[in-house]
Amino acid sequence: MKLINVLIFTIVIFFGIASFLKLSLMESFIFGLTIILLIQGMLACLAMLYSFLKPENLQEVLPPRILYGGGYFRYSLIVPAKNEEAVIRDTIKAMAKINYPKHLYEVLVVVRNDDLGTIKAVEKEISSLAFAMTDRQEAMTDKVNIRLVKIDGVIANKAYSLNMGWRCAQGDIIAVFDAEDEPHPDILKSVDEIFLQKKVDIVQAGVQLINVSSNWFSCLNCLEYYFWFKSILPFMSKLGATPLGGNTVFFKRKVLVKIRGWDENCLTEDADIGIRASAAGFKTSMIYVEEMATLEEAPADEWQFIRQRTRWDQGYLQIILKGDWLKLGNLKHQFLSFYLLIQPIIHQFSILGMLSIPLISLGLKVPLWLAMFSWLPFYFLLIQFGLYFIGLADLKKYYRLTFSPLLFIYLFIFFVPYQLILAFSSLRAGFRLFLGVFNWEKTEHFNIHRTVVTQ
Amino acid sequence: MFIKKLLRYKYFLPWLVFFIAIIPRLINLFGYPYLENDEGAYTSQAWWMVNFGKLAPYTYWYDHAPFGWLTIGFWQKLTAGPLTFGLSLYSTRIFMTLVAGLTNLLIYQLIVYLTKNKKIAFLSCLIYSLSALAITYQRRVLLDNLETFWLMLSLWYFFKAKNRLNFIWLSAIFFGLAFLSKESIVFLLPVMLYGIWLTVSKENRRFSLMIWLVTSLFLILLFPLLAFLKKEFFPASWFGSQSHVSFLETVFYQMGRGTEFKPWQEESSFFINVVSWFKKDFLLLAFGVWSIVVNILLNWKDKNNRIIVLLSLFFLIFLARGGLVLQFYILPLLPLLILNIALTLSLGEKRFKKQIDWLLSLPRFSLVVILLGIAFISEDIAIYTAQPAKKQVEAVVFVKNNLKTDDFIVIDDFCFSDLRLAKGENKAFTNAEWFWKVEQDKEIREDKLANDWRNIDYILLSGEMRRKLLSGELPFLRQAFDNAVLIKDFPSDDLHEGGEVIDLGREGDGWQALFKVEKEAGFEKIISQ
Repeated sequence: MKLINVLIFTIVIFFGIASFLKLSLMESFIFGLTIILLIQGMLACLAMLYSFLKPENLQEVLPPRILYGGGYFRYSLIVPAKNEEAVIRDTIKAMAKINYPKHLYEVLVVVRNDDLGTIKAVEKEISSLAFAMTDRQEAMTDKVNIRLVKIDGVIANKAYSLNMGWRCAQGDIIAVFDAEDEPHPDILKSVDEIFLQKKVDIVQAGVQLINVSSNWFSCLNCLEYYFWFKSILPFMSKLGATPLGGNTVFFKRKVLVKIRGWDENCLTEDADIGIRASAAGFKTSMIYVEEMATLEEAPADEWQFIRQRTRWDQGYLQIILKGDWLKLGNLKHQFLSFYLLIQPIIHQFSILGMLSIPLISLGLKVPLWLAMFSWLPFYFLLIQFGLYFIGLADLKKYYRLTFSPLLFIYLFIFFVPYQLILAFSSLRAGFRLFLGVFNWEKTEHFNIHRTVVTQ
Repeated sequence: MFIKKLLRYKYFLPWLVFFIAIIPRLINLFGYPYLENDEGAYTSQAWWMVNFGKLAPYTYWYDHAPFGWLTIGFWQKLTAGPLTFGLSLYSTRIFMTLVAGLTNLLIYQLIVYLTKNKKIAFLSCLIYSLSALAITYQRRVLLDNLETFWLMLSLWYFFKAKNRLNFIWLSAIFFGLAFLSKESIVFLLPVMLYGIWLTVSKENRRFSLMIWLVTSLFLILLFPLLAFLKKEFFPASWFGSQSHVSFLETVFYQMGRGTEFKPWQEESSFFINVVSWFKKDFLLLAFGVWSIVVNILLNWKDKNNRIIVLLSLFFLIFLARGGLVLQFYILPLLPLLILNIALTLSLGEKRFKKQIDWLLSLPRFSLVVILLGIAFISEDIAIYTAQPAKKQVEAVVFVKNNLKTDDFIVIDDFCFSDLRLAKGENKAFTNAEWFWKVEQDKEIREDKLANDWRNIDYILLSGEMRRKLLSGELPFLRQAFDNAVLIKDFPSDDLHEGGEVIDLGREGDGWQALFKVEKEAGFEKIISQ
């Protein structure tokens, strides 16, 4: 209710100012839209720059110094998988190599009964690992508990798989990983320290898409992830919003018990659970350092990408309509959560707006001051270009990527088409929601990220 | 004891620094220097912008970005109009004085930050406050004063940044505003970028450089954007469109001004002004240049020192570039010289700590202050005593009391607002036009005067106008002038500038004379020599 009052008040003030300035309807529209774009641009740039504003900000998301030595909590790493035979074996291998007492963590690969290909791949890898262990005659305590959890049921989405998985889990901390993930060997040690030192209930660690040159949009996709996990999530977390990603996220068991796990009707179960956990009073901490980020791959083609984004956008719209974010503590948290949820949907429209509003002003006969004013949001677009440029250089450095220097130019050439494809996904999400279509459009994985990073 | 207590009060020295800049400028503020063309132009443009919503009373021709006079306009709005303090230039000169005080305060804070020595900072600011060059041109309503203020603010955030991006961003914004006040600051842009590269840590360097460059460039490019939106960016001749002013044409014109002589030639405006500057304020300039040399030779490794030196050198390059140099162009260089002096003093203090501490102990420090004060004040006592502007004001009053409001009067721009704006019983002379626009602006010459000098009723001649008439730059007006008779002469009592007697009518004094244009042929003209 308070939020609506604030909205109404803002609209009244705006119309007051428009009347004072004697603006026509079209001029008021341009004026209002420019103000919105200015605010949006400013917040977006601030969020993207937050971790770089001062050295202390970056320090906040670095893994803590090891005080307790790791090995305190027991972890259950849940890996929902569907048609992932191409990637699941490598993922399981990577999980088995995690540098943490083997008796203190387990891996549960959750697969539907009818997904025979994935089941076969998982069983093969589990037995291969067991054979390798036996062959080396290692102690039983050094053997990782990797289990295949077969499920069935009407609902076929990630949230359902996670719920099935965590109910079989034995750990104190329930973690979520995707089927194509390449987690860092020291991830559990670092997360363990955070739980002990900061006394939080949820830890979100970093994820990074890494195949920057697979296709025309993958570079921009990877950069989105880079700034999202490195700066935007820490920024929102600092303000009190509780953004969560879909993997490399760790929950204390009591959190899942209290909020009753993931919402099986929601397409973005990660964002939803973050909102509900925050509304229930649970605290979240972020951790990000490039070397420790879980590596993933950007979708292989445009249609895969559109389906993925449609699913995410539709999920965010579902969460907004559900209204759990209105149960958050105060107006500030409610607004921040709403802003965070609406961002993936409006961000690309705002960028397109920053490009088109000045052109509209040029075409129409608006007062000179209004025409100049309408160009101001373009400044934030330039900042974002600059940030993407630096981000690409950072990714190249941290992950020792090799790609053509022309990629820096393609970044700018394909920026607008990328926003258009995102905008199309948002519109598609809106239509699907309107039509009541909620099926899970799964993204295929091809292990591209594992071939990209040079050792 | 009381003084020691006072010195310990956190804001005492900053307030003192502010007032030691204000007071010398306020003394004889309305008398010296004479009221100049540009002052009137910026004052009128400011009011026309904030009150009438126009960029200028005449066709705006992109001589400068309008941000500078927008700032002045805000002051006019804040003080209930341009005529609140009497003459319009009185109000804006008061504003310039306040800006000078704030600039001095910024210099003080910057020096305290760089040298960690309040006494050195105070001494340096005292020198700046009493500098004859600074006082003369900071009294004037000049965009260079605003440019200097924004530059100091930019440097303040720049040096205090310490890897903080938000401070870097603010530094860029204020640098951009400095450019939008006066474009000459662009010569310092490479040094600012180098400074960021030098002082910011490796982790933050690229972000800092990007933020600073994008922000400052965006602000700078608002100027050509203005022209682009008004469809006045390109020359009309390029596209065969109707004749109009053009941003590019103005840029080419400005870049070509004063390029007839090389800067080392005696006839060049740079050479002439260097001589004039040293005559006016030898102490500051000599000490400043010496400091630059010392800082290069003995303290080059210090990063902050290097940046200050490079800023000074780059601005000197601007002055010596071979183009037009006007006297007040030196304004942004003065605080940079002061910063150099402060850094040299600080270097000396580190090497001769005992001796300097002895000299700067409280009783001796007061003596040093007094001696410095006497030295600088005595350099050019005329700035406190001469009143060349007095007769200019008399001339304006005479016009208001004796001429008809619809008379076409050709004037110097300094009194444009005073004659064109009505206030209370003060009449508005709607046909008082600046001489330069009478000659050059189609709207005045062709539309208002129908290209006929006989439609001019009076000429309020100033020294600058006369010089341009005699040099042939105003052929249209010359016809009117040749057929005009002297009504009243307002010779300045103070025909002195810096103690020298100068020729009457030479640019630089407050001489005015009112002429009536005779419409019929066969008259005799009397021009006082």
